[in-house]
Amino acid sequence: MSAPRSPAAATAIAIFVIVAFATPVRGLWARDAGPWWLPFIAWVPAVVALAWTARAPR
Amino acid sequence: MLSPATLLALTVGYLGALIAIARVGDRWPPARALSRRPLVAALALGVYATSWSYFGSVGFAAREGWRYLAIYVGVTASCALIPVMWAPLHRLVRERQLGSLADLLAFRYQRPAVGAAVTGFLLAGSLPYQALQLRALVASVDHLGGAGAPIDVAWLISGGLVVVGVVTGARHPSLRDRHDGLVLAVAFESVVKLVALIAITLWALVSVFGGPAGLDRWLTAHPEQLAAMARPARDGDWLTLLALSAGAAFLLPRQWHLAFTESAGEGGLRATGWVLPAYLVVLTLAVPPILWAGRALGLGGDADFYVLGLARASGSPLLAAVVFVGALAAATAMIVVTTVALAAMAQNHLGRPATAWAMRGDPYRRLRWLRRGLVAVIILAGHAVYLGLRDRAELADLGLVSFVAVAQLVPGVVGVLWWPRASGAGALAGLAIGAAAWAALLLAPLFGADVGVLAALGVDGDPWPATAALTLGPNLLAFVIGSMVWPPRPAEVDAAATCARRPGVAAAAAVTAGSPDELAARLAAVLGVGTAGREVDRALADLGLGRDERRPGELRALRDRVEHNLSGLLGPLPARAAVDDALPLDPDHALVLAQLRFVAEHRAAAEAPARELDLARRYLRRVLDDLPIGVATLAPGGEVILWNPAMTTITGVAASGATGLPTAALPPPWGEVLAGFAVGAEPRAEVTLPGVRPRTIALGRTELGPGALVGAGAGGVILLVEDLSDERALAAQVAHQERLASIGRLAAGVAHEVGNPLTGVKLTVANLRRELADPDVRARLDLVLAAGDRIDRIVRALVGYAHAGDAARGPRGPVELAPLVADAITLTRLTRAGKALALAAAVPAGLRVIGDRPQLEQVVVNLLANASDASAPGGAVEVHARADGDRVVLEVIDRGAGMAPEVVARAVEPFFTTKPPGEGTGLGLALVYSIVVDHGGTLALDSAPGVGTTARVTLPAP
Repeated sequence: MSAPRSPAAATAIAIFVIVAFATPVRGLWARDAGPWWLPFIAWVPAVVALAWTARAPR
Repeated sequence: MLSPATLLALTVGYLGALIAIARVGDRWPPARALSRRPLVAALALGVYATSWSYFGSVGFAAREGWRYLAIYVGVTASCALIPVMWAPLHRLVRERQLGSLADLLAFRYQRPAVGAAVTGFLLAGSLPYQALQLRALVASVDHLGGAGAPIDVAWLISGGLVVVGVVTGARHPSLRDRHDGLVLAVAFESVVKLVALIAITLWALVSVFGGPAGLDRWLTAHPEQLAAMARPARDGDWLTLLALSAGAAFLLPRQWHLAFTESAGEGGLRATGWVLPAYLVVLTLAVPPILWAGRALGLGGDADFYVLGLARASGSPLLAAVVFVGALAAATAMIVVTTVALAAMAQNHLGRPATAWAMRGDPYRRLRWLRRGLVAVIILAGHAVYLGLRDRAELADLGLVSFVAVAQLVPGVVGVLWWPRASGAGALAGLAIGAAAWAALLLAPLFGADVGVLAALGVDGDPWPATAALTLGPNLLAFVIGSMVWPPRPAEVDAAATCARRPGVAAAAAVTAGSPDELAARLAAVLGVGTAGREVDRALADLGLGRDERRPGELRALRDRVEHNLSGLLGPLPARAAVDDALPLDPDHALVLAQLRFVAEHRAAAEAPARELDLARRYLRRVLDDLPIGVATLAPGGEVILWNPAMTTITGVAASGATGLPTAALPPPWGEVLAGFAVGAEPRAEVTLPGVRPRTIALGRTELGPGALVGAGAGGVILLVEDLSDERALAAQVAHQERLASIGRLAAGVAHEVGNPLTGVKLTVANLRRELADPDVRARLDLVLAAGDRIDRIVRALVGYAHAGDAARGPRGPVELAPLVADAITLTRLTRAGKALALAAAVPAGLRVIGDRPQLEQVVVNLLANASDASAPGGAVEVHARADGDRVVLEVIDRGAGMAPEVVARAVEPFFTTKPPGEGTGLGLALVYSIVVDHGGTLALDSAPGVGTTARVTLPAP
């Protein structure tokens, strides 16, 4: 997949991904049950998104 | 478990290894190159994870459950802002050589007080954090070696760190030179602490729980553990922690120092954007298993030190040693980098008298020692705070105190990036209020002096949302109100423009020195001869300029470069003051174009401010647009890329109708002409385009260098097109006039040579006629005489033509046209009586020209004669005259046979006539032309077959 075309686009995408995942992260944090590593799982797509957006031109 | 000797050996050995890595990183080129790799630079930013993360996160998770993750998710959020926040700051800091956050804010707000306040505040905010590191290390020694070790480990660590800090972080006094060894050592420490934490986690998983499945079973058996993690996250605030850590990710002195001051370029920032979050994911993943292993083993006590408890419980000296080294890595990285960063700030903003001392000798050597001294003082100050604090607060609380402190700088940074109307007064007011609130709410309680504000406000439990709001809220309010009440001064407006990458007021002014040597001589008065010479030489080398440089644009760039380099050495305000003092600008001498040329010629595109590059681009575009020669560029495939306005004028094809099209698809005849020429062998050609008025077009072609078009590979072709038609017509006219002049000279010679013998022939024939009585012979002699008369007329006409411009010239003066035209009409009526022409004149009385009356009368008579001859019997011939500025226009108009264009083209040539042989000499119009030109006038003929002819003469008015 090609990189975002501008810094602003990269930032917008990264923020969207983080917000999109931060909300379930919070929800996952508040769960009493389930695998203990679940709160981390939503973080990974954000890191992947950041790695992808880092290729945007400056 | 570990003997004091082992701990001592580990400590000394680790610190020695750090110094060795730093020395190698500074001196060995491959290691230096490694230090500059983006991945290494990004790993060094793992300095974010200190003892607080290494130990304190477990304690924080024990109290606050999953909320501990907010401290690291906030960093991830901050990394999302790298393109729009970190990167602009990075460019500004590198371009202006601003060595710290205090330098940046002092530069933006143009107040030494701002720099001093930021430095003092960051010192106050960082020292408790340094104390936290020492406390964690002392706790490590206590846990792993047993309390009451015979050495004071805190002093040992502090002493060792002074050596590490001095050796690794204070080698260069200027920002120009990167501390590669420091970065490499800190990146190494990031790896060490991560490996140590993973090692203890794996041990816990395997030895305590018997593997991941065992952990799951244990959690199923102890549901209260997961519930304890979830409850605080469900009930408590997490946004405050997220926001505080997002700001701390780049505003903490150690983060700023590694991200910007010791930057590996924008590549390092890009890598940081994902490497740092990924690093923190792995690091934080280790926390819950460690916490639960500690509880499973019933370690009890302060969960802050479960990492140490597990190492002790393992009974493995090796694992204990690994954990201890990890603890050393977490603490030393933070202390060294923070101290080096704070020393640079303190030198520029609190140590002005010491800087002045340094400038009196060899500033590079003195500033280096000053920096080293400050590193030692700050580490020892941290030690003093450690002694004062002892065990008064939790590790995580100490960390958050620092986070809230650096958050107070957020409004000032916003002013740098996005609010040009923010003022230094506003920034100072906000910072003062924020710092005061921070000291009262967070710092004082650390030392047992709680003023009870939170309790009075009814804040119970989690203090961070309230403290963040109570410090940052008034800070922001004071910043905004202060900036509105005391707007920015001119110097601040200029600096704000620089921060926004717009040219400031002073940007276009010329420097008042004529050469680099003069520049150095003036600077010497402020910096000393040696330093001034060295700085000018460095700046010349940076810009690729020579000592013989004299161009004003280059000299201005040299001045700016010297200022930027000095900024890295002395701080932005002293650097500006020194350069302004020694090299004042001349605002009356604007250099916009010279600077644009300089930008275009010398600066790498990535470094030049976008605005300057845009101006340079527009300037070049304007040059192209205003060129009188048509320019078109073609892509390698033949598509038209550029089509300048001259091209439109010459071809009649608008740019919008040409660009993007293949050349062959252009309207005829241009498609065929240009496409053929673009691929032809000849670099130059001339083509004649047919038409009513044939046009001569010159074509030129040159190849564009490879890579001229981004991503296009080969460059393509430039076509130059020039319309030579007017030039050629002018050349033809000049040649024609030259030919007429030659004929005139020939005619004069012929007339002279023919005239004399002719007179003899005519006299002899007349005498013979008188002497001979034979009527037949006399009749034949009459024919000879008639022929002689005809030759005589021709010769006279030739003489008249030849001498029209010189010998025949009489006195010149004002000549009234109306009587002259009337006489000419009378004469014409006499000679053309048989045609019964209607000759009319419309010449205003009093209209005069400058000239010779007989010659001008000859002009009108000849024109009337031609008009009469061209007209049918009974036809009308009109003579009009009018004033036209400083000229008089006289027109002789007939409605006779008219002339074809090719006849008009030759009409004024001598001996060119369309009349039957014997009726015209072909010299009438040639004589008119000669006389008119000699009078400084012009002759034009408008004629069309069957319509008639207008002969238009212009002559100078008196």
